[in-house]
Amino acid sequence: MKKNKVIVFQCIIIPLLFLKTTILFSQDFLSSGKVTGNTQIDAQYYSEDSKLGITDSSLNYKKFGMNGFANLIYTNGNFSAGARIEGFLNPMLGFDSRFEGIGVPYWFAKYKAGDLEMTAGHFYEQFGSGLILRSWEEWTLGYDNNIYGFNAHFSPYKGVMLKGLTGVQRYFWEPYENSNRGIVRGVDGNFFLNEMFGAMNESKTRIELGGSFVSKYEKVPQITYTNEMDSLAINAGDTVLWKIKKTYQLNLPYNVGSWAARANVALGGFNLYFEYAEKGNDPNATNSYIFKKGKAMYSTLSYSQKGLGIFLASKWIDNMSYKSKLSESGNPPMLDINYLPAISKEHQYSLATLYPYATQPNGEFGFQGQIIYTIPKNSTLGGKYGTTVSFNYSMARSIEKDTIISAVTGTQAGSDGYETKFFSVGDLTFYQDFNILLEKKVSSAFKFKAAFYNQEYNKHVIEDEIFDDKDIVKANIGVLDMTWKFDARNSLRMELQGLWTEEDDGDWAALMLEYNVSPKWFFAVQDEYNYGNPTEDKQVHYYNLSFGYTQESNRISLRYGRQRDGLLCVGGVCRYVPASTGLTLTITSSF
Amino acid sequence: MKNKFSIILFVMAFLSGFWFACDKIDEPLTLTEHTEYPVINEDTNDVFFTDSVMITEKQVLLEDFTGHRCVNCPEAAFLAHEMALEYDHKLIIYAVHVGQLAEPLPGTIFSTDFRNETGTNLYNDFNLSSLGVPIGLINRQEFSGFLPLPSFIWEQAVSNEFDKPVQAKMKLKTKYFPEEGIVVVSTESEFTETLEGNYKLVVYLAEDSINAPQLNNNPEIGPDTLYNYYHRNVLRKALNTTYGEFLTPSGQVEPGIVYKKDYTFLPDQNWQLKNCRIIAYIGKQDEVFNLTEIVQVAEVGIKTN
Repeated sequence: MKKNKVIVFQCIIIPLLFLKTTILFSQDFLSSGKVTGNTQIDAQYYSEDSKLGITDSSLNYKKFGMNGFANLIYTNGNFSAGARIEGFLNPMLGFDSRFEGIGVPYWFAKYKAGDLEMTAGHFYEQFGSGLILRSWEEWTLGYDNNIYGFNAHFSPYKGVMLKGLTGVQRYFWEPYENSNRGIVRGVDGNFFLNEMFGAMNESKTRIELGGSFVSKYEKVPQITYTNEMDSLAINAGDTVLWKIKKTYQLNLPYNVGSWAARANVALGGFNLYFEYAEKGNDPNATNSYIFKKGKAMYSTLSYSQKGLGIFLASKWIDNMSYKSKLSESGNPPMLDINYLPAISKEHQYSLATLYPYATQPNGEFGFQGQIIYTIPKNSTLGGKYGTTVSFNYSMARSIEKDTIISAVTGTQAGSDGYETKFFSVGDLTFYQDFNILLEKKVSSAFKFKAAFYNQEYNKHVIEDEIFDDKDIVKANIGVLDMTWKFDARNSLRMELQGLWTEEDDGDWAALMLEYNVSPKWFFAVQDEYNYGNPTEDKQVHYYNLSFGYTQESNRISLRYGRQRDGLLCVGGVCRYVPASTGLTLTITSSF
Repeated sequence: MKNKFSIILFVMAFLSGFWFACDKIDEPLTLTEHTEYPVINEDTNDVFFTDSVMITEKQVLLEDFTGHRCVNCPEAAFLAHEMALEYDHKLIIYAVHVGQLAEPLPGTIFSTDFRNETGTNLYNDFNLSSLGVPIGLINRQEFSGFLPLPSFIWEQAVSNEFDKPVQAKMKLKTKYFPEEGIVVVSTESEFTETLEGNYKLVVYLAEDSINAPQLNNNPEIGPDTLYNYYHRNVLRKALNTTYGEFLTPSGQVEPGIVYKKDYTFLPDQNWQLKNCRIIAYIGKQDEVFNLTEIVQVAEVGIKTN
């Protein structure tokens, strides 16, 4: 009997006790945790539109497009885990058809113990300004180059942050297998001297230094070039035609490394940032398989004080496309390891975004200067509420290149491609934008913004990768944006825009009226009219009707109308959007 | 303070390792193939002579490993050539003289050396020394669990191979240029079905009807020493190495595509060119045995007048 009791105790009670502790522990673990998340659904129903040449067959009978995601993040103290579910059923127009599908392209688990933070799964990371490594995601672009692997952040001392990572990048829904793309590994150190050294703690000059190394390994493909030459041989009095055939193989590097060094110095209202990067020989589809090293420089200088801000930026890029698969190029941009910062201003008004700038990784010089000044309140020019004026000038040009042609391939492939001097500036304009924006509140019921833009857009370079000056669009754009506030809840906003150019699609005019009943409703009508299009058939009205409803953290909006084709760019990375007509529903929500 | 610096130095030294994880390429292009050949003028045939075959049906390769001092070898060779007749010459044979019994004995009637580098490579790579001659490889496919096969099971193994479907078609053409004394071999290979793996093309030259003594122990064939024995299709040379070359850079092939490869060579003065045969075959690259699973084989002569 006693023995039986022992058995009962061993077999039932002990496991129950364990189970109970487990349940208690998990309850405790769950109850002290927090779950957050957000969702966005963009759905479009496309209709045929003879004016835009859209038919069911040109839509591939995909009359409905839906892009959606949901983020779920669980946080509990030093631990967090999350996932993003994405679905493209079918991908909306302008998104690559390889996105079609639904799944979890991003999940992670992260914890912090002491000074070490570890992430396993998918993650986003950036070293410095991203010249040699940046993984990021931009939903509207359909851009996601997240890294799937391990990421460690370690802070052994105050002011020191070390990062190390290894992983593979996202490529649509394709899993990483059989070395179908490269492996990225990188380390970064950031040293904030003022925190590290006691003597500098009180110094007004704040100095931060950093350095990073990134390398990729890739099982390279075999690329061969075959040359056939004819030669005449005289043999026993007869002339015989001989062929000489030579096959060459391109010796592609399995490992491509890069490094970058950076410094940030702040003193008073000034802040100077400087970063320089180099990349080892990296023949790839973007640079036409040249073996030249890549170089990049990026610097910014800013100054601010009350009512005044000055910002200057410049960059010099040479052969810096860096992807984890060398044969990958073109659109949509995928498998980018690095990011080349854009230094053109991103505009808010639709006609000002008609000619956006896309970064040219094979070589460009860029400069931007921006001044924001607020004319004080109660002055002659400032009026009762003050007036804000901002000037912005940005430009991108070619760099000097003396082309080298390989005798074997007959192209730049297999050679250094070209010679260039560091910081040389070529004479081909890629892009130029001068703009001025005035913002003024006239009375408590009326405010307006006026803007003028003068843009120069090298269509051949930006859209077709043809490096000449045969197709430059010069456009002037004017915008007037007025808001009338009727009472605490009701307001009307009107946008008047005009774009004038002799080139491309000619002149445009746009009108938008938006009625807001805050905080819940908005209604808008908009029309963009390409009245100056040299082809009469293309003088199209791109009209849109939309309304939206907001309830707590949910927002639903519905739009019907036409979408013009063009480039959509965020941070110099662009996606082509084709013209479409139809109904768009957007739902965003968070909890 | 000192401690901090040493940590930073250590970290930076560790980090710099990543920069070295970069392959610096000094020679971007390597010459991998260099061939020179006269341009073939199809309209005139007074300068060169052409011979060609087109293979669309299944053909099988028998590699007969033999030696001129091997007493059992003539019997095996006779069996093989009888089978070739039976299969309407769709069975392609070449003889490879290897091993101790192929060694020449200087100063005797067996002073001829039929051995060559290609034969020795095959003999060593397929580990045939432990088995002795005669021994055969039939399409380099296993039969009843064996890869090298003794002659008494050749018939079943050959029949078994002929029962398999055709997987590739081949065209083989030779052109002889009497003035230059060179031979150009043109090959075309086309797969008729999707095949997994990496495929190579191998082109050999064999010389037929070489009159030289041979030992024998089969009274039906003749006396113990056959003084005027005609050695059939003796392997002489590989035109593109023992295991050939990949049909495509990766070796992966697709059906419906015609893979063309041309070779030019200068025949050895000691060979009777009119008796020489070009034997070309397509085989699958195997990690252990180099080349196995021969899917098609073709043979063509060289017209010399």
